[in-house]
Amino acid sequence: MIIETWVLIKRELEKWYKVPALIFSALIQPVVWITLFGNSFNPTRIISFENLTFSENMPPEVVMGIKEFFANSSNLILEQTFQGAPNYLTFLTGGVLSTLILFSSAFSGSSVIWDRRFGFLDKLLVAPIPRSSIYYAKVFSTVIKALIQCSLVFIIASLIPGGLVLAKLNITVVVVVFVSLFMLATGFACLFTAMALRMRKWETLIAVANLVNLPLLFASGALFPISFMPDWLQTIARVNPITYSADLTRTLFITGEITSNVIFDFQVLAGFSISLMILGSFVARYYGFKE
Amino acid sequence: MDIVQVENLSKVFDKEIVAVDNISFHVKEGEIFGFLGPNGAGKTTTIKVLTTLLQPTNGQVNIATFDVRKKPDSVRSSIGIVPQALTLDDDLKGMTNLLLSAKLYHVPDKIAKERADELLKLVGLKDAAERDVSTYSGGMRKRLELIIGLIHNPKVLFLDEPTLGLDIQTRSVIWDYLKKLNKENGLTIFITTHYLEEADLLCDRIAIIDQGKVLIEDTPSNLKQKLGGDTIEISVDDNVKAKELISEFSSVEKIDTVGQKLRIKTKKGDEVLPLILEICKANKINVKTVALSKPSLDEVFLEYTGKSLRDTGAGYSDKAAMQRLWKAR
Repeated sequence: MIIETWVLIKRELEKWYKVPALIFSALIQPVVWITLFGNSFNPTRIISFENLTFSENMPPEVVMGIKEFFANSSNLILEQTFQGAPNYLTFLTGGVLSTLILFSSAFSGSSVIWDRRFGFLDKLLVAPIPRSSIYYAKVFSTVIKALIQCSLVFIIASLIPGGLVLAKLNITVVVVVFVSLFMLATGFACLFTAMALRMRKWETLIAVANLVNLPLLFASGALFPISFMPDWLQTIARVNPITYSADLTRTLFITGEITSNVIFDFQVLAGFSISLMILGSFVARYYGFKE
Repeated sequence: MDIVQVENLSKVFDKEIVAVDNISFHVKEGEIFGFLGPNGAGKTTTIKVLTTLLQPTNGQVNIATFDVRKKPDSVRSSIGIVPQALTLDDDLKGMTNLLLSAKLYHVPDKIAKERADELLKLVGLKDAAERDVSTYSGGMRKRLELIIGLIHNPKVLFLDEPTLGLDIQTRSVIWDYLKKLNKENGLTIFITTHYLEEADLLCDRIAIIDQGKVLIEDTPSNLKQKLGGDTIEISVDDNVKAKELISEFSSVEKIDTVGQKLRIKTKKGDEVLPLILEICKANKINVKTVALSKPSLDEVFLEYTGKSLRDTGAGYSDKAAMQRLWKAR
């Protein structure tokens, strides 16, 4: 089972790294989120009102006072609402990594559909291998690709000016962040690959992916703190695994410490990935490859 | 020993579309067995059941002694498949495709490499092995597909319309490979086709299937013989006298006047024809035209299915056949 899965994962990865353009095109979106969205919608800069102009009649000490007030409140908000992040991009990066995982997992099923179209799947189905190895190969090749892309985005985010600033960089931070991103990716890839198993058309998959991607992104704590949201949206965000992955990742980036929050996030993600793996294997075994 | 045993096999889709209707046949070890029928006859459905891609609705199918229902993995290890549609991975090299398949069939790496080289040489793809399959021509793809089906040294090779859409040269090359593999390695081959010449040339035995039923199963020459031998058509200037003279021959079975011509049925057309010409000449009967036709599988097919394979385009308008084709995917 493991050998067959690995053989098939290698096939997927070989097809992937043969086309570097694919790898880099997948990086464009997260980098756009960080550099363009992160800078133009940067809430701390918006609140600081650096570019306010005042009427000339206004006494200069009042103008100074107002400017100081906004600058201070901006720092206060950064400290209290953005978990004490040194800047918004540091806050955002944790969310963007989770979003990247969601977006690449959402299309994880597309190779199943292509394999079915091009007949390669038939070849796998008549080979003496467990059918769930076909499913898990798709899931884990997606996970591996997503994690490699996450590492690249992480490096890019650290390199750009005004970007990611880590409180601490130690092996624990890296391992915990990667394990939790791995769990998030596994959960989503299991879900979306299982959905694609019986699909005959690529268009269906695109429709489903587009239907869920942006709502899942906006109804999560990936871009802004969920305390910014109205109550009903907060409730939705609290059942969205991206919220937990984003929270865990950014807490570790900002504080470098494993707090009780981090442990809770970790447990939620573990529950998410394990339950979807069980569901996925069930679907693959009893439903996905039947006539 | 019968390596493929099919007893009362039926396959019904959606409880109403009968794709395969209670068929039985056996394939002996080491023979080339042809499964012949028009489009939508149930050939592909049958091969999919035999190769474990579809579950039988009814009946018993054993491949290399294993039941397809109970031991699908053992069946899968014993068979090689060359499907109708291409199943190669275009983005990978020919060699990578071949070795990937070897891995899936648990062939040890060293043996896989040796066999891969040997098979690539056999089908003349040695030089193209390190190229991506996307650069291959149709014939090259089919040849690669063929050796992928052989990489794990199967007991039975299933080929579903292996030469569909190939030019005549490539077709005959593939026939040669198949014959060679059958002769030298004793490989049992199960082939579906709707090219009659292919069946005639290759197969030790054939079964004709139409509308989900096996109509007849025999060797090609027996089937042709059952049609009653050769036909000689001759036009002469004196039909009455010629008919009288020709009917004297003991080997002539039947003689009719069809329009201006005489149609003579005989078992030994080759031998009778010169005698006829001689006797006509001796009796000063002027022979204008003469034609000898041997029975072909085409005529056999026509005899059993009531339609010629050549005009089975009509089969496409048959809704049930369409549905069968679609469902079998």
